[in-house]
Amino acid sequence: MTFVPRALIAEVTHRCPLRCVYCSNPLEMRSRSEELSTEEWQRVFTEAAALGVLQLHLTGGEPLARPDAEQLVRSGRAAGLYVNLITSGIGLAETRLEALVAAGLDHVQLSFQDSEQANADEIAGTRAHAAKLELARRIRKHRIAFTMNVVVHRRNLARLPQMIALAEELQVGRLEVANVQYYGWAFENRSQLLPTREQVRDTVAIVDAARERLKGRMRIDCVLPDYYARYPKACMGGWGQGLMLIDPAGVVLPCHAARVIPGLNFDDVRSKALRWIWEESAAFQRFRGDEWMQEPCRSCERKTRDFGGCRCQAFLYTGDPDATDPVCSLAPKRGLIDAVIANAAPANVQADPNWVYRINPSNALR
Amino acid sequence: MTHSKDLGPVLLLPESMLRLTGPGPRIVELCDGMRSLDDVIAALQSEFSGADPEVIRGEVLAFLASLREKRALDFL
Repeated sequence: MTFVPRALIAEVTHRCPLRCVYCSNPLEMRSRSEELSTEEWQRVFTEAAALGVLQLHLTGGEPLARPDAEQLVRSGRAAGLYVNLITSGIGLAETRLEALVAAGLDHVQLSFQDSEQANADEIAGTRAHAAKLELARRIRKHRIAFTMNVVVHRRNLARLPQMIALAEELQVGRLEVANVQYYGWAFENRSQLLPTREQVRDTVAIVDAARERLKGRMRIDCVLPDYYARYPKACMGGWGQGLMLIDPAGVVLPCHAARVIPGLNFDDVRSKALRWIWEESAAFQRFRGDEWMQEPCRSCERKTRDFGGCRCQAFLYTGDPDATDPVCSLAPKRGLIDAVIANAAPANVQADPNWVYRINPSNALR
Repeated sequence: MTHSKDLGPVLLLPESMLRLTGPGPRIVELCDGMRSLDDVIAALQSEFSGADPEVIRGEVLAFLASLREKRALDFL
């Protein structure tokens, strides 16, 4: 079975000026001293393109925390990749924006934490909202695709209509209404972030209406929390099937969270060729195909569509990475997810949530 | 738009891609930000001179409308 990767998520740094409580970066982050160099990333982009990758997502942490961000964009373009920058926008002055566009940037995805400043800054753990608004007004003057990504959860879904209105005002081509995915820091804060069932229902209605109204002007993509789904998501399009992530130290992973699974050895691009890692390494082979599946997945007709759901989530909840993703209504351990949902009841919403804020990696040598 | 070794011509978008078949790649190529809609249609009508020009017009309009809906294209 051969799988051709189409997208490379390049986590070029874990450094970031924000401290978002929903961040899906791992709790154990890479320090600056471990980061791949400009030349190393250039080689990686070339190898990825040779493997079939078409899209490059420069992310982090905050990719602009790297002074060589323009060169990274240039290298991505030179390798023939569609270059997407996923950013908080902090510190993106006009001269730098111009340089990134000139270097070949195809698309910017700018995050927003809320439609209102005070709430946005609380979630980000720092003053950021005003700077994002100012940047958004400048981005649209450039000939570049522009997505506003608004991360939604229980604390801000009441303002979803205002967030959509903001996207219209900023004239973005695409809006991503991204429900928090519960990994990393988001997993730590999940009891205060998970929406209620009513909020999820309202989200669907509001987004559907907005899609109709904005057809041809704005594309709206919406990801709902899988805790409320009947069946699990086809996480990453399947483990090691369409997508790979490379962390700041060059370790190649099938997703953001995979390091939580014990017993897997993930290789890095400094010691192994990317092609070998993707095609042959044990870690990438581990959950391909269906031999590893337990029941009910093994006999389920959905297994070729959702691949049994998310391995990291299965491990986080059941302790067994081979288990059926507990969000599945057919999962033996579905009750673990129901317990989290029960805890998300409106009566349990804390006025002062005691957030676990994302930290910045230390600069100490490992 | 790029050419993938195994997928052929693809139009790359934020978070997605469209495989282009038939006259699709040529239509996208003609949409260079300078040509008018009529210019694009006329170019295709002359390149596919054996086909009914009205059919070509209809198909180009439908194709471009679907690209616009996916936000892959803007009429300037």
